[in-house]
Amino acid sequence: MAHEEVKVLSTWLSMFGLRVLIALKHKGVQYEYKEEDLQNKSELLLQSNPVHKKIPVLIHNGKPVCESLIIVQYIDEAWPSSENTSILPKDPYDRANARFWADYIDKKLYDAGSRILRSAVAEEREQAKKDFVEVLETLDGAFLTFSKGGLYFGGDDIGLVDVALASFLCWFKCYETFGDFKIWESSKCSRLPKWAEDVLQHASVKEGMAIAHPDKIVELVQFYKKKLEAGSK
Amino acid sequence: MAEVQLLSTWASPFVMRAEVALALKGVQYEKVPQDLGNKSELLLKSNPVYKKVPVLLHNGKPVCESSIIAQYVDEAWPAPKDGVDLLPSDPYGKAMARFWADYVDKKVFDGMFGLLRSARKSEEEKKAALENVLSAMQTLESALPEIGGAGPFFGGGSMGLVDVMLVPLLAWLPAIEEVVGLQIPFAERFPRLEAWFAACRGHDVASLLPSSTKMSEFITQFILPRFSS
Repeated sequence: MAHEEVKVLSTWLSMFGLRVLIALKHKGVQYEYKEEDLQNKSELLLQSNPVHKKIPVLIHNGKPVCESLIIVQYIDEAWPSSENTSILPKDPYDRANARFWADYIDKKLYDAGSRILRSAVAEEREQAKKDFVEVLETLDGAFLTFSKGGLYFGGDDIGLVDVALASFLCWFKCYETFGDFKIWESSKCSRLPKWAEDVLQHASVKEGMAIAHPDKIVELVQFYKKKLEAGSK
Repeated sequence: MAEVQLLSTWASPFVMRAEVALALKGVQYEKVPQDLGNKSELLLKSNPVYKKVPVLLHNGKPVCESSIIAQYVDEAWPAPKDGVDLLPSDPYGKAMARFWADYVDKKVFDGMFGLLRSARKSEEEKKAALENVLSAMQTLESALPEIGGAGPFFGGGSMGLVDVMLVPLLAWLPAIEEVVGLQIPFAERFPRLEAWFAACRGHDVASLLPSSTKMSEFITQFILPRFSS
């Protein structure tokens, strides 16, 4: 195969960036990872994503692709492969379903999670926790129809929804620490807790998420919170 | 039961996207108008998560969210005799189209509704809302030649996914401008978008969209009262 240059601009704790790494590992694509300092964005990032100036960005032979779910679909299509490494299913209806639930995760989960971390008022935090759990319960309900008896949303192997959701798992410890709750125990989820265990053992997910240590994420958020509190005194 | 049904309302810009996508692909469908004040069993069953329109029902199976519907229609009816493909065939072209479709959905539409919400607010707030819209339009103006080449559409010579996402502006934007009392200077500042609007107005799908007069009436009667001043 001709020489290919694949670069990923991201940060080690971004769940959106982790999706890209999981997808690349899943397709067996070699890439160069560049850690971005979001307080001091590189020229390359600003040039590659002038519209949003955000990570992650995938740069394939000099051409940038932005927005994590768009990047994951691009990776799936640019490196087509056998049945067992396809991230999106072949059937149009199944594809629509996968996109719907990945979009749902994007719309609902990040916001609820952020509110758990940011809320200064107890009431707001409790609402955020409730919302967060509700999103998981909805996904839990969808899981049965999706997985068709397999371990993952994608069935026998990971698919778009698995990639979209697995990337949040490294943040769960952080949400639990600051929310002072146990996520799975607070929920009525019957399938997702096992899914979480299984997906974290999947090679592509394990390798893709290797840089994101849950403990380090907790530490970092604690650090930023202290900084904010000190700054507001 | 028709093979393809669309749960719809006449005023929803999101429904308009679905209708335009179906028309561009030459897909026959039955419109099933919905009363959003008294949601039907069918709507609640087909879109339990958001309970919104549009919902496409293909042989009874629901697809929700306008952008997802458009991509579904594109993939379920590939290379149609009476229609076009909404996405290019190469992966990078697809990624670009999806990126700009997402931009239209988030920034342009947010900006547009923000402008509408400013109708009952101060002059300063109206100006700020307008600046938001102008900024989004400037970005789109630069994107058009990048992905659409000579155009006139974002899809090039024919309409594509990004055009589908943006086209409801044909009905909504003039109506919002009228209600807010502000105008976006397309001809002076955004000539490619001006040409895009003209091309859309001349396209068959324009007949699917309500007139901006009807939209103004609707906005004044039903939407403005919801915003307190």
